[in-house]
Amino acid sequence: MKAAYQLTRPALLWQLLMVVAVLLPHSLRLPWWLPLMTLGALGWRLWVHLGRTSFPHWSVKFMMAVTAGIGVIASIGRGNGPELAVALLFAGFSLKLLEIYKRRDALVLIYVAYFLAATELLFGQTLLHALYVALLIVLITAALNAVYQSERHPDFWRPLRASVRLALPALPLMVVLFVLMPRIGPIWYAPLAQEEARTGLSDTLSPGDVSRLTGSSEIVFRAEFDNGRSPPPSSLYWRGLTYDLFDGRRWEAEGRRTLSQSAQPLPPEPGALLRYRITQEPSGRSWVYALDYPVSAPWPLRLLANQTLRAPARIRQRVDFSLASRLSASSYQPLSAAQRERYLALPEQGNARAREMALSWRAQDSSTEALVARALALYAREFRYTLTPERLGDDSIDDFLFDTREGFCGHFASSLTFLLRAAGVPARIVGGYLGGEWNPYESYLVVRQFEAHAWTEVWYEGRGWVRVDPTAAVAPERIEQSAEQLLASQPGFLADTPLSPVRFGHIGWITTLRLRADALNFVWHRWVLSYQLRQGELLQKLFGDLALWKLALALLIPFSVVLGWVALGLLRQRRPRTKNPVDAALLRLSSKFERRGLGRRPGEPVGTYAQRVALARPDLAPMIGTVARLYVQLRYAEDAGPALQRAYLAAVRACLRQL
Amino acid sequence: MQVSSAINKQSVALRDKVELAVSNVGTLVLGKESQIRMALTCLFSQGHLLIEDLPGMGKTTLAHGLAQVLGLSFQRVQFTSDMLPADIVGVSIFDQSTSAFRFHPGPVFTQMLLADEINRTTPKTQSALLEAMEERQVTLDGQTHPLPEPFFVIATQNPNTQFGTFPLPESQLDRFLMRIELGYPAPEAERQLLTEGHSRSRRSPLPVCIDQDDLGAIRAECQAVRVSSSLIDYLQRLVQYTREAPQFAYGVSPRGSLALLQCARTWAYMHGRDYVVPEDLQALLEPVVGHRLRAAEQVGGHGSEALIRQMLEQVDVVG
Repeated sequence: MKAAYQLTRPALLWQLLMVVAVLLPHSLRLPWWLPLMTLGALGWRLWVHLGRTSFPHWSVKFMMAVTAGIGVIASIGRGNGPELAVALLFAGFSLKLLEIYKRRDALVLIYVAYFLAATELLFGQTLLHALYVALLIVLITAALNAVYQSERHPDFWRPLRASVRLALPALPLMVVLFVLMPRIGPIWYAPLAQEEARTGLSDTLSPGDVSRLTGSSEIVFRAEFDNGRSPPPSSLYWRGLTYDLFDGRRWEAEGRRTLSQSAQPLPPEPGALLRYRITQEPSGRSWVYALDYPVSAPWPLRLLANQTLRAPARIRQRVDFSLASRLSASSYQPLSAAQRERYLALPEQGNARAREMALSWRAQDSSTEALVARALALYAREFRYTLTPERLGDDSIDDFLFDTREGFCGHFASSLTFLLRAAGVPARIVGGYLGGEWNPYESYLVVRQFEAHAWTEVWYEGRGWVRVDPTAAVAPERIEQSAEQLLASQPGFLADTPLSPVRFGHIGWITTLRLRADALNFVWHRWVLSYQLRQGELLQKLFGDLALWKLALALLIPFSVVLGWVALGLLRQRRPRTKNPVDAALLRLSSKFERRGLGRRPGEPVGTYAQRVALARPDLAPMIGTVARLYVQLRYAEDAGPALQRAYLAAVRACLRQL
Repeated sequence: MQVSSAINKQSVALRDKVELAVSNVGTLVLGKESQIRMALTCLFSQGHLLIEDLPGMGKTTLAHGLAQVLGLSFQRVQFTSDMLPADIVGVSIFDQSTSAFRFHPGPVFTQMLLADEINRTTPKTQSALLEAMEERQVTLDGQTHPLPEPFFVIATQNPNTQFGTFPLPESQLDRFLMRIELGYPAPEAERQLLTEGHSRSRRSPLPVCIDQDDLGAIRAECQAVRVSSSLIDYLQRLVQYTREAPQFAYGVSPRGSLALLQCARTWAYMHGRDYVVPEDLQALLEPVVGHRLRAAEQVGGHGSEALIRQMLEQVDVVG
């Protein structure tokens, strides 16, 4: 390598291409001026490449580096470790462009590019991210190849071809390593930037809230059932949290304070358990959704007194839990006096007409069953389900019950809970999701934001909490069908995401495509991102008991196969095998002789070779002489004839036998 | 069958004549049979021959002998540094009796021209000769004078490391089909030379072995020599090697590969075969290709023995 080696044109172009590809995904996250600076540096370097200008003076470069460093620190702040580090790297990487002139500079740039490509995975680990990083590695390797390309015959596409040829044999090795290598827990952890507040259920509920959620088709969680089938839609009540405190306008969720004691796990009772696995998307909240009613909490979750599950911290990345629920009923634990008081509490004032009606109902028949039946009958008779109801005034329950008489689950759950409490029956609102879309390709259920739902739970003495869904009385189709089908005709549905593929559910192939894409994403998560959860089980299944020697063998064999294959390819490249049977027979003969130190040298004609062999092995002289004579006749005199060829092949065989 | 045997008989007789010519010249130039065959191959292939060696190695004697056994008219030009083109191609002189220019042909108007020490003269004179070699005609004052048929040039040259020479440039070296070296004689040959010195000088000229009709027939037979596709493969591999391997400054031109194939045909004929084998190409590689190659590192000179050896060793005969 010469010291003053200058980059060839393809090498430089590959470098620039690599820089653009590496920086492209990062540039969306960084301060806006950084990508601009990169573009500037790129432009400058191209300009130098075209001979229009020269490299900047060292003082200019120094100034730019200092300015960029200060700028990055100022605009990102020192709190966000990884972002800051990546941004600084990014800035340096861009400015380094103005220095690539010699091979050594190019190598620095390439090695940093590998690192930057890897940091991409800090910010996202979807299938798309992984594919992009794989592409980047091929590209960067192409740039590396281009740097070492011969100066005499530079070619633009050759480095890429070489890079792909290098990457392909690595692929099976990667798979083997991924599957077999034991996982070590993370030794390094950096908190990433806070996820911005996401849509989703919140810890307060005012009747209008749920309609806000129907504007979004974002995925909340996915559920796989151990038996591979989805339960009937009418039992897909995904319970998230309960609301108990009403201030006249909004309901507040039961906090940690009132739920400090965990619930007893449900005793094993008749009624089959439904086992399933929830993969919840990051929500920024700590509650975990489970079907009515979860029986126990796997570590690290807690089962609270209101039969909901709670994670120890806010959920900021996809999490997986194995849960079990019993669809039939909750367990019966008598209410304490404090609990009873809480579930009966109402504001001192307001909504007088509703209170009055509740009291009049109670006067006629004070049994809980009768009160509930009466309220549901009222809803079924007089009310209308819509996502865009009229606005409610200060006495929201009164307005809803006596004036507007239209609304959706939030309105119904809220008013029913109010009425029951006013009539002296403990009640609370449960927030969660209802339904879900079944993905037939990977057999799981997807629950999206627009499936958000609120319903009421009523305390029956002697039976415990019983789910009463007033929406079912008004719009039974909401429970029986998917939310999507019901809501599609409503104006507010998916208002936030006009281009959401869910919107085009009536077009068959779009739905198919969407379900397929989601299935792929899910499989990616299950088998790649959270593979470590399944590794032990899978390896157990593959190899029985996990003996170390088996694991070592399983790692070694594919490695030897791939390396052997690569080596064979290299050997073949050196000496291409001929297809001609005449030549092939000769090569076979020669390779047999080679073991006795009598192999044919490449530049040795067959006649000369035969003479040499005849001198060394007089016993073989006549035979090898015949072979040579017939070979020359076949190959050069072109006395081609099947008989001649047969005679030749027979002579070769005779010679081989003699050996 | 009879026809073919008649042809065979004729070609056997022809080949005998060639063998006779070789042995006759061999009595003059002792112990140099392969060089004589090489020179004949060059002439039968209608090419010009460059003999490169030190003075006194028998270059001129060889040329003389060849002219005699082929029965060709012979001229010899000793090139010197003060020679002019007119000294070779001839000159037009004003004839007062006819009041017109008359062309006086130079020594080039002959069937076999021995251009002795061609690198002693100036490039201008060299190029005049080389032009005549290429065109087989001389153009002077707008008049074209064809050279006799056949026309052979045997040029001799001292290795150009010697003082006071003008080395031939690559483009002109390319005009020669072959370049051979004679080398020192073997001890026995030299002893014979030393002991028979007297009688040799008095010897009568060699008999003509191959007349002009024979020459035509030989050329036709050479053209009929078969070349198989696997031989062409080998030839192409050889040529490709010179174009790709880094030790070559440049590769063999298509003219070079054509020349190699043409010579190989003649060489095969001279060895009694009607097909070419790789050994033919290998034997001719140095004389035919050697002067057309240059090593990448070596700026001056055409020392190419090492390159040829590499080609012979590296390029696989069986492909």
